[in-house]
Amino acid sequence: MLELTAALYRKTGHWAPVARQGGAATADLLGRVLAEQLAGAVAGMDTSRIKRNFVVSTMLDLPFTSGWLNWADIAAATRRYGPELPAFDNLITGYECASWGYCLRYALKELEPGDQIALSVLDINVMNISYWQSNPNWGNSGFGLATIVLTVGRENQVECHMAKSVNAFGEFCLDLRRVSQQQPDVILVPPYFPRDIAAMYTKIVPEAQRTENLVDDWGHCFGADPWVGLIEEVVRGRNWQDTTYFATSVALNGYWTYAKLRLNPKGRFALLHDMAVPTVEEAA
Amino acid sequence: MTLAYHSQLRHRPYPDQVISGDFNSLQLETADDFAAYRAMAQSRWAPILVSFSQKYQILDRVLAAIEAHLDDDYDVLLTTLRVPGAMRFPKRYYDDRLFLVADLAMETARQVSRGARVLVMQEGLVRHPMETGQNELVLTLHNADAAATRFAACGQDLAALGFDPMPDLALAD
Repeated sequence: MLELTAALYRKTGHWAPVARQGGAATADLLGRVLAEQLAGAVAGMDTSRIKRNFVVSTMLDLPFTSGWLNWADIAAATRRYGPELPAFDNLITGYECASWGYCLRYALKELEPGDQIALSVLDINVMNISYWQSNPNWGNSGFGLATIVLTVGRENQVECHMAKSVNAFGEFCLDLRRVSQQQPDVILVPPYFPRDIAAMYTKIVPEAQRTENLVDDWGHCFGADPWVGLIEEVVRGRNWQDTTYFATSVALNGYWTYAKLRLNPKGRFALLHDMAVPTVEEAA
Repeated sequence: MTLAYHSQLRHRPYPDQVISGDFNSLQLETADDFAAYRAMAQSRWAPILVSFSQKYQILDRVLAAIEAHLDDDYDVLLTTLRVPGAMRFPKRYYDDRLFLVADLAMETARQVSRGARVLVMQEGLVRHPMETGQNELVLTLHNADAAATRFAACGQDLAALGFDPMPDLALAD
């Protein structure tokens, strides 16, 4: 089974003051926060075990499609700010909020038990685009960066699904019920949604088999929700050391994912202080 | 050994099709919205030959051609998915050998170095003025062993779909 070895989350607002300086300044700062947070997550660890290191995002698609941002520039910045860190491999946005699960599916094909995977869930509204602030489909957004390290076990359960109908969210919720019935001892960590939307799963998955919908505290944090949820288990002093979890995420266009995992009792799990919106001077 | 097929879509592949407008126009409400879209807009546009749904339609047929000719010739199929917010990708994209990355070159280099047979589908089919691309389609098969005949047959299928061979196609960033 996968083991969550480290998970850090840092909330931030929009970065429009940086974005006004252009794509190069934004790429530099994104590389810097990615590197700094990964350094915090892996401090004291033998990083040679980290064989893959992906950045995933839901909302940072158009800046790349337009060429305003380039992954190569961000990767170069991560090397400048964290030359000792495992190299950042690539950016994956195509599966939206479920991108982390598709990365795991892909990486697990080439990894051995004991190997590690780092994932950075990067959803910062760098250009302050209003579409991403809030939306009837997911309510208010929570922006930030989740950095996680997973250790590969012997039998790893990662599922990636694709909806068959137009009602992807409904299919996802029914699938949550299926999983909760098949493995009742595993606690589901569902994504955060406004209560009237989350009702589709809160009504059919017993409360004792899922973590709380902390949408009022966090908003919808895209692919970071389950990682925030797992850190919250530790922070709120739940019985996490004796629990097996399913981290889950769903994408609006109909992709969803699960990863079965336990938390390392000696792991590093923390909600970091909010990241101040960078000033223009810092980015220059 | 690396095999490559450079091509470009130069005509509308579905010229007489009546379609619904499937572009969800971008929300422009605030000064930051206008600034963002202005920053991302392209100064020169390639002709728009496909709608959002038609792009998936034709790329699904490209994947079908790959499936017909090259299914046993690759371990990993790398491609991009640009502006995913529009609609669900075709089922063939869900295949567990296919992986969507932002930077094809970096992941290709990594997989090639570990000896994997890597098929790369790089597409630049544009649908709106914030998208880069020249309506190109470049198919590359790395670490290919004795696949030249099947690769050529796949290329013929792509030409039949409207992707005209352009061996000297120069791609701007």
